[in-house]
Amino acid sequence: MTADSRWVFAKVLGFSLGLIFLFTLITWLPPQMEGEAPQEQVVKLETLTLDEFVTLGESLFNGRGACALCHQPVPAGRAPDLRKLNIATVAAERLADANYQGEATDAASYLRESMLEPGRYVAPGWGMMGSEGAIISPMPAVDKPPMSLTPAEVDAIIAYLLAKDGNPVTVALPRDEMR
Amino acid sequence: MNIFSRVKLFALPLLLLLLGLVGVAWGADGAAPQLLRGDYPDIGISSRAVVWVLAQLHLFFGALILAVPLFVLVIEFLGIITGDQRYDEMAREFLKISLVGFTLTAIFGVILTIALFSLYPQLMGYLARVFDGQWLVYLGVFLLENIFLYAYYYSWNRLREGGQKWLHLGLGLMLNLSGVTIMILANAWVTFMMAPSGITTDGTVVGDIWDVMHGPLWHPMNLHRFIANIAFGGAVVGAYAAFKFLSSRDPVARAHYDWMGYTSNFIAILAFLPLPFAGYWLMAEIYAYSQQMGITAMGGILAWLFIVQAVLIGTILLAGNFYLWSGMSRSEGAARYQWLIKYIALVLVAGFLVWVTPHTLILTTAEQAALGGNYHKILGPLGIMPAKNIAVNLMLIATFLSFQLYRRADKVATVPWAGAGNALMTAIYLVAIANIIFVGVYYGYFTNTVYKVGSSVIQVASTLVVICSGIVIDSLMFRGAKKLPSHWGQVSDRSQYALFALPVAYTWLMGLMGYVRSSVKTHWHIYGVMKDNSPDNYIPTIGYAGNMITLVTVLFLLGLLFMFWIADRRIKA
Repeated sequence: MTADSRWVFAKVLGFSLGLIFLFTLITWLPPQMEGEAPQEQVVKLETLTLDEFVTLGESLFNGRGACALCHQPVPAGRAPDLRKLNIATVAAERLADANYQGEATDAASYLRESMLEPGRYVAPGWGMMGSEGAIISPMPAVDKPPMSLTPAEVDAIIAYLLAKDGNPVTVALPRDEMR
Repeated sequence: MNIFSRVKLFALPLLLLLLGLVGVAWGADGAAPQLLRGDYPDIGISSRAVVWVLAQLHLFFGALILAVPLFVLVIEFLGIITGDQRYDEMAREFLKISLVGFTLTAIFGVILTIALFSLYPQLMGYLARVFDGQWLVYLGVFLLENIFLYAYYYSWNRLREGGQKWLHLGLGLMLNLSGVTIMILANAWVTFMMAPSGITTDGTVVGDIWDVMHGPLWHPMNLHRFIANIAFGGAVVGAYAAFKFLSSRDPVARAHYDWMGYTSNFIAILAFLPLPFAGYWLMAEIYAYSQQMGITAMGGILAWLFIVQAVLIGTILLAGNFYLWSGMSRSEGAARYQWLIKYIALVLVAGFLVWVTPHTLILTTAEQAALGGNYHKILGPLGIMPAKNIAVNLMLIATFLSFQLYRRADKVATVPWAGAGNALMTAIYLVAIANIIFVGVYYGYFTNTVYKVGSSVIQVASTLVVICSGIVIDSLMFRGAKKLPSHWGQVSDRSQYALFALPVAYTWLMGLMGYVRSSVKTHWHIYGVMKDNSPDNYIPTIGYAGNMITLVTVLFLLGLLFMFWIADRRIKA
């Protein structure tokens, strides 16, 4: 390698490493967050209160249930913003809708049906793209993988959604052991 | 055949065969194994980090050796069609440069395979069982690729004349077909882990091998990687040409490497232009498969990563454009278009700024009060996808304009309809730009999600119309055009640094996208089927990922230097 080549090599190497260093630096500017895997949680049923059940529902809504990923304010949201809506009022409107084909009779059963069979009724404007004719829900059934929520966990989320606006919680506390 | 080649030809197939058999024997049940923390071997350091480095190095070199033979084939074909011997020589030089890359890919492949089977034995055992005989097909194609590679390379002089040249081209075609097949087979394993198919929810195989391979993300991943690899390969050999250009004083050699650098950049940028659209298809399929997975990537914990991605793509576009603008100085006819460059630069910078605007901010209570909410009132709307879709489409159109001006710089159209042709081209640009902005703003901000997603298809179509019509109009309008003098080798030294920025940014970008692709599976080895309960079952911070990507990029650069050194010795010999 000639002296010229060595000098060119040094400059090119310096330039490339400088650029790499710059890219690395940029990754340290945003907030540093880790995406933790959901932790298994055992709940003692004999002492479980309604408030604890509602709190558990909130943590499932924001955590393992992954509901909050989509149910958030527009324009980022891809599903109705459940934290903002009074779900009892909304459920009454949906059940009265002529297009409603489900079997729910009240807010709790409507929520359960929406979570387990999301295709039963899709809120207007929230279907999958290109599915205006035969509306397809983009929401997965929450009792299937990857969420795999148990019936008691589904009830906890319903309890949270009802309780957050002061509506009566009409789901019963679970009898079986919860994860 | 040297010792490296022997390793490549025999060690990898044997190892894969052995480990494949071990894997098949390991997992005898129907369902996927459900692992506990204690089931993972503890080697004192992060198993994920070890696999991360090895997999990424294998992929970098794999991408290179997939892409280079592809454009070697095209350049050799151009040489036959045009009768210009320079094409043939350049094609052979490209292949010579990448030759050691085949060996390095195989070596990293062997080490990666050992690491995967040692650190994740149950997972690999299950995958080996699910993919069954596909491992043998992979081995067969790998051997074929090596046979075609050596036949193609060593017969270059022997099959140079007359009809034999077509036979040689046929060998190159077979080499490429086997290379692409290997990539497609390996992609099936990766996409199976992201979006499994052909199995039940507990992992029991119910379909045949085609059902297992043919998951919803397979084809989008194949297309995305295929295009990305070409752009990456073009950028890497461009850096080789730039180094040779800078370190040479001989005007003939400088002219040769200037031309080689130009051709490499041409390949890198041309392949890069449709890449965002392939990426869009992949993301759309991810969303269709699992909203949760899509949002994890785009709107959740990984959202900040796309700001880093914007910096990298901004670097690629600015470097690519800068090289084209500098390259215009080779031609005496370039002065006609110089005035447009400042406007192109303006669009690129504005687009870049929109793309790097974050949306979801982590704020303290005081900051939130000062801002008046979670999002900035003016800048907040620039942080969401509609704004970024407008920005990226306009940046791509601006880059194509640079490309078009460069191609026109040394020509004067002589067809009688040249004025009308230019007017038509201008009108297409203006209508496409207006359409991209209108559709993005109206459907992005004033309708619901359904139309918001759909509008990006119209924007992509507008950009593609500009690119396709530009190529067609120019090829017709400049047929038999008057050629103006071009002076190869007289481009500025500074422009060559753009050719180093491109592979560095491409490499880093590929590393970053690898981090996203793997992280969207969150705490699953196989999404929804087999949980990851290892100590590494969390998404690492973006800063940690940045360090890892830098490590593999530097290691890859060292590997490249070794590859170039060997190539240089071969060329001198």
